[in-house]
Amino acid sequence: MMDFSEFGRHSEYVFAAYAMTAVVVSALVLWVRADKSRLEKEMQALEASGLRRRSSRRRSSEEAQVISGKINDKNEN
Amino acid sequence: MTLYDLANPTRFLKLVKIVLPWLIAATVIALAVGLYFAFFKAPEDYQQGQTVRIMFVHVPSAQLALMCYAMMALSSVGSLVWKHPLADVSAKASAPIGAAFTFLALFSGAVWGKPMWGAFWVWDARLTSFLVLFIMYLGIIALWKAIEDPIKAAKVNAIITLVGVINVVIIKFSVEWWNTLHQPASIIRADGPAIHSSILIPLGLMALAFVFLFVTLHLMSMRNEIMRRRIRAMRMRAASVVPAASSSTITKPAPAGAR
Repeated sequence: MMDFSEFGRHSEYVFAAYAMTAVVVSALVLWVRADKSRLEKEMQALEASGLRRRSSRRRSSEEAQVISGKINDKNEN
Repeated sequence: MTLYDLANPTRFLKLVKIVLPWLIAATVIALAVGLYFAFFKAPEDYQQGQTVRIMFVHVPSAQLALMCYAMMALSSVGSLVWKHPLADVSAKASAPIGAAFTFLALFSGAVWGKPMWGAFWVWDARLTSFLVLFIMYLGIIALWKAIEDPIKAAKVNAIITLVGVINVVIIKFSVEWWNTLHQPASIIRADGPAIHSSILIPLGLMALAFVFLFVTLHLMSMRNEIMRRRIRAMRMRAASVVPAASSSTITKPAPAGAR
């Protein structure tokens, strides 16, 4: 088991390695999360301005067709 | 579920949403256990003393640096041969993570080298080929940013990545082909690992934690990249609709009374 009081004369190298690892890994995680929130905001802004993804527009038009089909069926009946 | 099922980005994103919390939990637990073993269970080395603990971040970082490149190479094959829609997304997402872990391997190697070799850096075959890997990662990231069209960027990067695989082979065998200051392979060897289990177990735990960390970050980055491409597609569609609408307004014939 490690004894911190007798960590040895090279402790600064060990701490430097672990500190840099912590900094780089934290920076990576924060960068990925910040990128995600920035992209989500951008996507929301685009959707708020009326832009839709092609697939979602197709889906909504299909849904509209289904609904109108149901209405037509009711009218025919 | 096959790779072809995952070719649909929406399906892939749904899977990521389910898997990601579990992966984050696995990463945190594995890191906590690995660090506990690294600092409180592993003995100091009879020659290297406490500096042997640098190995628990150096080796996993170096392995991930190579694993990331292998992932990029596999993704490049998927992109060039099968034109898998997520292959170039995967390749692009891997590059910054690979660069970060290559930097960590170089840095931890340097601070391990100073007390053991008496120098932070030597132009040894293993160290130099690893520096080349870092420069290659930076070049690939720059190329992704330089080419605006992601499909063109994916093709160029896939070819460069596959050419660069030669460097991964050089890194692996550098300690055997040349007389290097860096020690030869001590884990994956024909006659078994040359490290005692008291140090090998903490090393294995830290390596596992780093793999979980990589998979988590990779999936998160891929999710971001898919979103970025969707935003780009939406913007391009909007830009193509506006001129078409305005040109139709211009070419619209004037009413008869106005002539």
